[in-house]
Amino acid sequence: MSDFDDILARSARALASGIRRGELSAVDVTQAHLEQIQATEPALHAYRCVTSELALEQAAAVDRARAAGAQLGPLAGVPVALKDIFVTEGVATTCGSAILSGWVPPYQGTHAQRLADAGAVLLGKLAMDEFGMGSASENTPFEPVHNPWAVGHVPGGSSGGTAAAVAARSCALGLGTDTGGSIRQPASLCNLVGLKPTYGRVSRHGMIAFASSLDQAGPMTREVGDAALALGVLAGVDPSDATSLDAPVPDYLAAVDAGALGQLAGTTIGVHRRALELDGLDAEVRARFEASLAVLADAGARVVDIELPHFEHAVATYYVLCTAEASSNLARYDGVRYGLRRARPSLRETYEATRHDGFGVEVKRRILLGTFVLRAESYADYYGRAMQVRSLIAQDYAAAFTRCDMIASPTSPVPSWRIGAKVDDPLALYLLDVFTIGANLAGLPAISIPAGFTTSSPRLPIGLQLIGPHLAEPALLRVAAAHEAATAWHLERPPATGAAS
Amino acid sequence: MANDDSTLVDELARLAHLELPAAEAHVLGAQLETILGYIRRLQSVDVTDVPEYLTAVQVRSGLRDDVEASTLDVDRALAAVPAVHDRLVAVPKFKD
Repeated sequence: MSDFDDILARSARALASGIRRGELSAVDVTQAHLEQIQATEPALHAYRCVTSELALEQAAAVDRARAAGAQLGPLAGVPVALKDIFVTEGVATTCGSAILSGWVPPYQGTHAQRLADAGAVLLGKLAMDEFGMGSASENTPFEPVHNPWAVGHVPGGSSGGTAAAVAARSCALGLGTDTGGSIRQPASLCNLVGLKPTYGRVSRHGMIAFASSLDQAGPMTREVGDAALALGVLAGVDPSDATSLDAPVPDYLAAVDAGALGQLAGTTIGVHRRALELDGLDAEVRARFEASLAVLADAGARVVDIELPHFEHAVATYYVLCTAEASSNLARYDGVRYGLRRARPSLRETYEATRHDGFGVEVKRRILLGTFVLRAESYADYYGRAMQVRSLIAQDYAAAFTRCDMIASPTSPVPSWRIGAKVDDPLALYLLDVFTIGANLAGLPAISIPAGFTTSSPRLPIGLQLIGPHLAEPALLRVAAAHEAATAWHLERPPATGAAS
Repeated sequence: MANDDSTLVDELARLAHLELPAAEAHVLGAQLETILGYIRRLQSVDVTDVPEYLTAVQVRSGLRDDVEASTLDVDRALAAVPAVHDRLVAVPKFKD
């Protein structure tokens, strides 16, 4: 194994520790990841842009700081990459859309700033579905992203570039965003850990808005400890986001270390059995889910049945609310203040032509749907009613958490599929969000972790999801770490990384 | 949306400031009808006396302290504007 292979095999946590102790230089770690980007990008198209020069400057600064005996941040020298939805000062940010092509933000978002303050090295920006709208990272005018586990397959979405890059070792950890499952579903399809925090746990300042009452940023990593490390850096109140929570940030790594001991006695896991009878739940996904439950039970967890009476209404509720919010949030893209402009004789024609040329078909579909549900004639029957059903869904979770500490389910009802296979059936794609969107509607934290692979060829990853009560991230991380300690799925390496597992 | 798909889609596109040629309107109209058919299932949920969802418990005051703070530099903000005239955002004529 070469030195660079050794670097790429390490978790973000191990890299940070190796750099802190002087066993590794941050420049070598960065160089190894830049070479991996070169090796894997022709097949994957995970990156929208690579900031090599900036990354090497940041890495050299970390090495100089260490040599000078300075205190290093928790992510010092760790190469990270951000979904292209995060605003990065001086680095082009497209949000996967032609309407923002060429936009170079004049300010830094909170996520990029907190990562930089923690010493992280920014490798670049990652591909995604346009404005976060999609489940396959195909809804974009740019190249679709390919799954490192099977390059003809989708990596999931909308944070599919992040998932592909982390799985391919072309960054040590990545940041995604999750409005209805966009961190957890691609994590599931790429054998990763994906953590959607409690709504408000992480700031939304500098995260381009899709549906503001649902959007949340979080880490995507190969190991549970890396997600805890990143969340500790990102979490906390932010004066620039009035919805960020002013709650103490606990020691997430301590929760992981406790879980890694593999003792879950006293933890109760709820299972909504009726959801497992759903049409379209893949038999292998169901089998891996039952196997994961057995792993948790073997570690001492108690598994109980719970009910979520309005579960089957979550997808419809979500697609009313997210499209309503999207139609409002995306009104700002009109060709006047930034991004694409199609010059026309009148202002109205300029708006209409710019938005026609700048938005892709899925974004247009959602803007039109959102406009419909917010019309005066439709508002009460659609938006108002969906907000009432959202209350019922949140109440269902609150009632369930009186009987259990967290709820387990598959993350995605299906493993990855071939690129292009589902692009013409938007409703079928929306229905694949069935297990993930409840956590967004109720503002709850949720994590997806590796749970095995299909037995058919190509061998495709399958994920397990855990949803907890508000601010229960430590409990989720503890149980996720116990599952990781009892399994070896996270150690496998996909074919498209230039090395065998 | 039934029999007047194109009328409704055209109206939605007008409200959304979105140019929508007939061919695109036709495809999107059919897809919206399918999606709305699914969404209409929400009408069967009993929501009697159920309040609309509110996240207010989580939301702090949106008001900042009334102290002077730096703002984005005008020239940096204008650097991303597609058309600028005399350090102002330029738009086509919108009033006779």
